[in-house]
Amino acid sequence: MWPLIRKEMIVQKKMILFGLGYSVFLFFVFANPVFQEFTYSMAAFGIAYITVIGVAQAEYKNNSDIVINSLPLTRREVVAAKYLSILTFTVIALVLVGVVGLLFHFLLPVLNYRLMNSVDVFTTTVSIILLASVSLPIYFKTSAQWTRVVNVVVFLVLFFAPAQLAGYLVQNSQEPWVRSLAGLAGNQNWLLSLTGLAVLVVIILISYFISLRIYLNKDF
Amino acid sequence: MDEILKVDGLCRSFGEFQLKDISISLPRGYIMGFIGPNGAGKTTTIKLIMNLINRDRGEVLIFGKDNIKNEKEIKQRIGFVYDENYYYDFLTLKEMKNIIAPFYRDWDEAVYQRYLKIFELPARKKIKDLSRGMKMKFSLALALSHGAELIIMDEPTSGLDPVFRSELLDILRSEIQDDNRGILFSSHITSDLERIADYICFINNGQIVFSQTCYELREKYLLVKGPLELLNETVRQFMLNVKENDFGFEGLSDQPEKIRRLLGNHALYEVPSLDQIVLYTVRRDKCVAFN
Repeated sequence: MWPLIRKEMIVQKKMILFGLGYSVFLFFVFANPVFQEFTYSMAAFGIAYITVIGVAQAEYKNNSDIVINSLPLTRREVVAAKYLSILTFTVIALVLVGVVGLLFHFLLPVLNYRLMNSVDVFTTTVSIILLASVSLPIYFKTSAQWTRVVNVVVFLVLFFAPAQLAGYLVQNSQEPWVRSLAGLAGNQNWLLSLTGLAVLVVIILISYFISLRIYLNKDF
Repeated sequence: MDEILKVDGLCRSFGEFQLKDISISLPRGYIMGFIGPNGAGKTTTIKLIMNLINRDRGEVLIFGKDNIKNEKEIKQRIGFVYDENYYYDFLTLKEMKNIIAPFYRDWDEAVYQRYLKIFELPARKKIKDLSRGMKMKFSLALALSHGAELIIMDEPTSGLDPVFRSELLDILRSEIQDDNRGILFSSHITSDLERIADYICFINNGQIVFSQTCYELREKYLLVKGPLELLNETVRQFMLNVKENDFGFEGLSDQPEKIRRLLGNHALYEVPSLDQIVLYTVRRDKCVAFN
């Protein structure tokens, strides 16, 4: 399994340099009170997203499934490694962005950046898992071209939906279900987090088994 | 006999094309040439052996084990060379080797470096900057560097110049000196197979026409030439296919004894080349007239 994840790292190693430049750029562009709060998660999500797309396109262009499936591997391992590699890319993206944020915090205090916190890590991870859960079954079923279309849609949804949802909740703040949700978030935050985590695990498991079924029946 | 590869009753349908009841047997220590016209089913058969496509029916045993149930273990011991480059072309040879090598427990870096040297492959060059021949050499270097017992090659010589083709055949011949190995080699170029193959497997229209040793083939088929007066209905019955022109006929028979007895000294007899066997067999249902 590890050689497969390592393969993805080698294929996308140039993205680390790109990610570094991209993060620095975002930290400058988002240096205002409106966006500053989201800079860490947006930058990390962007890097992970571009990396995932990059690997998919490289594999599609070179028809690499033929080589991968001729190696001493099972198809189950290929699918599992793809999911794990996305998590690995997320960790790399978070580390990169965290380091860039640290430098901005200490070297450019005038921009007023805080350090990365657990909410940034959580938001990025959840977004990437949601993106991967939707796009990977499509990637295994069709091609990188379709995956790119789906990824763009999911990317936009994840970018704009939170603001829309927050606006909707504020507008309907007197509704009983919104009040109970707010109460839960205020008093029993752990319960909400745990439920969210469980939903996330279920989503990724469903996605994995759909991908596996598709890949096991695929011809190369 | 210890079979390194045994395919039995393999079937797969793709719309109109069907691979029907494919059976092949390759003993250890031998090279099998896999021939057939374009679209005959060579690549499909190889992909089924490699479990790159799913089969409808049949069985593939490699090293005596089912190729799906023991996929991981079996592929540790297989070296593959395909007709095209499926490696990431924007990587250098070194980077690609660094991806492939960790998958094999018996990877031998010294052997790989030796092949790199023999083939004069520049490790720091990107794959996309290599010529077709160089890409094939790189594929071959990877396939031969992990102690593979079965080497599967799909059209490795197509589009290559005669010098490299000859080089490749010499390498394969030296590899097969180890009696523990076996090579399945598909090619259009029958002269290459005549040089190195011990067995010839001929596929046409998704069906195996024959799978025999070269010796058996030479015994089985006979090229017959003679004047048109000899070509009566009885003679035609013993011929697989006949070409006729104003001066006479030339045909392939798979019943050499009977045809010799029938025509005696009135006809000329030759051992057919693999090319002639393929040509006459593919056009079996047609009598081709030429001038």
